[in-house]
Amino acid sequence: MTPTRAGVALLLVGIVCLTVVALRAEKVRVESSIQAHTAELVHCRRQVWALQMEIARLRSPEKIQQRIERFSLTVGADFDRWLSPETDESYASLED
Amino acid sequence: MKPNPPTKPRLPNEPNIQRWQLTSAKSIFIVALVLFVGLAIRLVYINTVMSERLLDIAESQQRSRMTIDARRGTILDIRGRLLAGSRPRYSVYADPAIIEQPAEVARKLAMVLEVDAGVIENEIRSSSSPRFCWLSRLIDDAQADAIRSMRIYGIGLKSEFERYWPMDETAAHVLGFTGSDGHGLGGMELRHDAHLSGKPGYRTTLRDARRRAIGGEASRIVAPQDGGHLVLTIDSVIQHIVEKRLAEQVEHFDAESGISIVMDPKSGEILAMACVPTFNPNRYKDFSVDVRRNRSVTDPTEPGSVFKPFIAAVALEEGYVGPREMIDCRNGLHSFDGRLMHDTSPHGEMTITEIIAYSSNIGMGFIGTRMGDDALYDAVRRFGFGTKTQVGLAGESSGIIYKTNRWSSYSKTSVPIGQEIAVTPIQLVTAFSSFFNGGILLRPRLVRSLLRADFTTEQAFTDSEVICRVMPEDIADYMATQALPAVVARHRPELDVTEYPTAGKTGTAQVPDPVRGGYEEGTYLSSFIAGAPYNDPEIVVLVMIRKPSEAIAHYGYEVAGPAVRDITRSTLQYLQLPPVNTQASAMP
Repeated sequence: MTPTRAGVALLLVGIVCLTVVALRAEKVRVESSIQAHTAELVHCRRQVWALQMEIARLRSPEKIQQRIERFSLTVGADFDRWLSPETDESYASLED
Repeated sequence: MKPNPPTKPRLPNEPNIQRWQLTSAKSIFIVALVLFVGLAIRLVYINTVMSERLLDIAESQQRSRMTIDARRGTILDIRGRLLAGSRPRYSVYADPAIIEQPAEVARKLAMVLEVDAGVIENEIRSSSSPRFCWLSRLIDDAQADAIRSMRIYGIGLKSEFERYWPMDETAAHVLGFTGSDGHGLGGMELRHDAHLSGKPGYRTTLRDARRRAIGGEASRIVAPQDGGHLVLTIDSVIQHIVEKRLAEQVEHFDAESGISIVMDPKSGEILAMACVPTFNPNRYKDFSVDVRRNRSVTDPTEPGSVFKPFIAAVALEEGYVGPREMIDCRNGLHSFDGRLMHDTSPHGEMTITEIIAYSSNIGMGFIGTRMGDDALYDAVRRFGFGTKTQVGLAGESSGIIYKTNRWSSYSKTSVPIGQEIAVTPIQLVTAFSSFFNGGILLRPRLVRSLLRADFTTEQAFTDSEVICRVMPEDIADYMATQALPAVVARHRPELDVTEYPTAGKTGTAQVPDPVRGGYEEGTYLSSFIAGAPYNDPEIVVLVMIRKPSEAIAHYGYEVAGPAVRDITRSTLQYLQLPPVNTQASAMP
């Protein structure tokens, strides 16, 4: 083997090694990123679930009535029409 | 002389090996061989027979396994409003084995958790498990963030779910509640626990000798399967209307308790079911077992006059009395075989419609006498009394209906007026609905559908479940459009809902004395049950008020009647039912 060929071979081996190192570093970075996004997703999902509960609490007929009374709103003769079935959302809104 | 054998000539460097040396070498070799063979056998034994057990031990020493809770499914009302759900919370735990300074750790945590440091330190030091103990369950997110930022070695946070009923008391007796382990202990939470619970997952992590997690591919996660959801037939707005009005009535009449049920007579769906006093499932431990019991299904009681229409319908069907036949009601006082009966208002001859309208005990006594014990018993059982409705709530009673061999000579006059029998409110409203659906006894239902975790339908209960036909259609129509409307139109017009003409029956039953027998002095069960609008009923409403103050009022039309009227009006307005033309639907 001539010195030139040996140099080329060493260069190729070096490139392959650097590529492997770079790919592994990228893999770690991506995995870390996935982990971070997964954690964020979990956090967001927790917030969504917590907010769903809070919305449900606020939509409670009793709470609505309390707010009406607190703000001294006049609801007139149509009082019993509040929260009529047509104005409600379906349970599909609870899907994640 | 024998010559000596020739000796082997010795080489110059040949060792002079004695016999004993050779023997020793052989012995050592054999011992070593035996040892090696033994070791080889042991090695094979360890790698085959013992391998599974040892791998398990190694796994448990090297890996830690943490359960990931499944999210319990939600419970929704018929219009998709959330009645019960699970919200994520964190709980704090400690690994006592690796906490070097429990007092210092406790001091830091105490500031965040707002509990005494001594309590936390004691938890860590006296933990029954050497590697795990809870320090605080279900803390809020701000506290969790604070603890996370402290990075205390040996302290961890575990995500858990807290069951939450956002509408507090609304439909509490139907929904029930869950225990600290997240499993249902009452109501729908108990009945559908398996569907709601889901399947927990787990995460295993490789750990070093100091139990520190080693990341990377060594972590293995099996995701939990969230629980399915439940859609009830309850409408939370109607439920609120009922609970509010019932509570007002119980308070106004200083009563012991109250029960109300609203049912769709055409489908058997229960739109509201309320008991007062009620409880908050979020704080269920603050309430007694007695308050948490759903008395709509668990407590049978003598119904009183609200029971009269059932006997009247069977008497009409089987010809014991004709629709235009006049029965002499003896001006409100008569003795049946020595039992003196009286009516609240004196009347002479009346038709069956008038007997029901004016709630004549004497008229019903004559009808019961004509029917006899067996026919009366069959009539009672036909409407489902004495049998559980199977509405799907725990602790349901089948009521108390004695067989005729235990009846007395008074029974044939007592049963037609709702005495000597005990029925549950759910039985009563189910049977009464048959007048408004053409004579069919439907199974009452509280569940509209079961949904999977992704909200797709797993099972829908849209079709009514027919138990049996209890009376011909013409008899049911007669009762719904002639006899029962007369109660309101002729006798108690103040109970009519102007926009939606009502057909119903009042009742005022004495409360039995369980200790001394007979009836308690001055205590009553005041009831009113009605369907509206009676020509095409959308709802049947029952209100029962137990032990109202006699000093205020005690008759069913006074105590329960106004509540049924108001609930009927509010519910039908909420359902946006156009007012019915009262002229067109007026009684002939």
